[in-house]
Amino acid sequence: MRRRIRPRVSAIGVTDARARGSPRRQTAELKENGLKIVFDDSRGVRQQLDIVARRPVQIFEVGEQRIGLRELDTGEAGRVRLDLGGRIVEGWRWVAGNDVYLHLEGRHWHFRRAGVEAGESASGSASADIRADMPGTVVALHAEAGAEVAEGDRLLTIESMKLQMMVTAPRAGRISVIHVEVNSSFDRGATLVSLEAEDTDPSRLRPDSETGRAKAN
Amino acid sequence: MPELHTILVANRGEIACRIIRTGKRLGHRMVAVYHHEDRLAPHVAMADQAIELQGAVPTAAYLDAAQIIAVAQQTGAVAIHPGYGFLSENAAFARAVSDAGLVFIGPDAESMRLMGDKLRSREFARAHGVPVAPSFEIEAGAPVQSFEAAAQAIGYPLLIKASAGGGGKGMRVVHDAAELGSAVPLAAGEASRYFGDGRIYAERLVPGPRHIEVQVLGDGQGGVLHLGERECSIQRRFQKIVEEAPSPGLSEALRQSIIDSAVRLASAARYRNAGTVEFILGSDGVFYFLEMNTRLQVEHPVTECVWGVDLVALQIAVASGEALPSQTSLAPQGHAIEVRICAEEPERDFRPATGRIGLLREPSGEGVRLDSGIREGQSITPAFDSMLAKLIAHGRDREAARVRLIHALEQTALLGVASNIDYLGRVVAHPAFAAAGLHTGFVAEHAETLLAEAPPQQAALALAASALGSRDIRIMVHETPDTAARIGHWRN
Repeated sequence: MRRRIRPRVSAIGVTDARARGSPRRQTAELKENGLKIVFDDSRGVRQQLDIVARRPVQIFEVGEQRIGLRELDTGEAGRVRLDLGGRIVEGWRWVAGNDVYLHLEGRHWHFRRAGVEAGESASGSASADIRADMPGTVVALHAEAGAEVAEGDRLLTIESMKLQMMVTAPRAGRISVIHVEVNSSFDRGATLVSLEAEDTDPSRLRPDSETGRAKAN
Repeated sequence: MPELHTILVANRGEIACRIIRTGKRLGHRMVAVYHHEDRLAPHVAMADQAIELQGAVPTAAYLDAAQIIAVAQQTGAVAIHPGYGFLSENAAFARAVSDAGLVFIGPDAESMRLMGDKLRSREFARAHGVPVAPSFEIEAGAPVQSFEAAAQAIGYPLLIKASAGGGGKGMRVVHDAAELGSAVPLAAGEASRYFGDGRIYAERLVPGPRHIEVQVLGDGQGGVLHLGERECSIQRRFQKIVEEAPSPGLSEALRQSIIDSAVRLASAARYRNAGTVEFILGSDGVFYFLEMNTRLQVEHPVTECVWGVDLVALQIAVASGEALPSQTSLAPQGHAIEVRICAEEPERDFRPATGRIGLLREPSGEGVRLDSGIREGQSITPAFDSMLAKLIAHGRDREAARVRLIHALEQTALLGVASNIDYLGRVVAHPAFAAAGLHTGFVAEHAETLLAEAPPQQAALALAASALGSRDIRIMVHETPDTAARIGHWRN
């Protein structure tokens, strides 16, 4: 049986606001999904924000935390001023697509709107593609297409900003394609290595497949 | 008009900006070079003239000696300032610049060759009475058995270094013979790739050391001026991230002994222009020569703040043949601390970050200096080093400088690309840093507290404030019809 690739995220399709258009449809979506907004924080941890109330102040819930605030107009691009029930907090905010960057009370934050961007981390899932977390170049390949690898096996060494990093197999499996070669450069999100999809045939599951396949090569 | 009327800066980023600033202040015409990828970088806009370098690979363009010399000649430049990194310690480049009839603002090629070869420079230091850590050379391709005995004699752990290396690149710690065997080919490979020279050596690793270095300025005739020492013990993976001057808590005798060693070495080498002699200081008070960097250092601003000098101006003066200021005319004042702002994600094991700088708010205030190489709208790409800027604070004493720096870091907003700004703030605010408990393992020792998460209330507020940054969410919050607002999860 096939493992679920990703947990189902109960998030309103807010990023489709332009396409959504009509208030009738908007209403329908709100009814179906509720008003939950999902972000990944800078550690990659999924955070859910519930909008509990809107007027006269907005009340948000994040886990156990409840925040009541009113955003004040600053008249200055990027400047943020929040009224937290009398306490004024100031900072800066920059939005680029699904990424929101914030500087508040002397601290930086980065959140990414979740469930929108394709190619989330392959680790821990049955996903077949190993993607680049950042742009860079390939320094060395440690495995070949067709090879059977175990979880944690070294696949390739990449370099970005003069730092070398080892890319390892997120799970056991057979390498179907290596999409890069030594000295080739790649962008963030590029597929570096594809593993054959995990299938349901028990004879191919570990540990049998590991030893069997390794000998076959 | 000064003698060196036009100076080409063969560099990029914050150091190119910093050199151009001083050059223009002194009335020199400043020429910048840049790769297409850097066309929006500030050094291009600041220079009197900027010439694009041709070449597919961005870093290779800044390393293209022949092209840079040709640009200098086309633009009427009579001198080249190499900054740090890139061609700054390339003896062949220094020679080619002189051969082209131009002035290289730095030491002569022979000093660079001597100091650039760590094996030779250590021998030179030893010969001139400067203490050097026990070490042995590892021949390329030699079997591990051939140097096992030497390793045993010095004792583990050992530090493997590239003879042509520096700045922490290509260094490896080995704890036993088995590790030595596997680390040697890797270190040699890295040495070849980074420095074009596969020779490596191993030296005794001083446990829990401090990194202390001395700023010198030579006249090329044996006359050497020193500008005191800097402490650069806060490092991550051998890369300095916080530097300060003077070094806190040194006895006057030890401080003088370290400075005297540096001056003796530079004088014996008849060193010309600015250089830095680096030492490792053990917890037992014993210090060893590490290497001499034959260029301006990244961390030179802390020395400038404390000694009230402009090192780039002094470099240009020396290159113009002017005499050095007298040692007695200079005295240190107060304390300065610098942090290196890098595009990286501390929460994700400091991996390099990229992105477009959407918003940049720089700190200001008395005693605060930002040496920046970035501006809003600029893209940070993986093509170059991740260091974006340096923030320096100067105060009447260490605590005053530290408090100013913490405040300045809090004032610095860099949005659109992840950075280590908050992390640096936690380093400088750390009680162990405040107590000057400095050693090169500081960051590892305090790793956990330095990566502490924000209080949940603060994180929740940040998430809410971030969500309100998206227009569609604002519309939902402010403008959704009330009929919709009463349905589903709406609870008001």
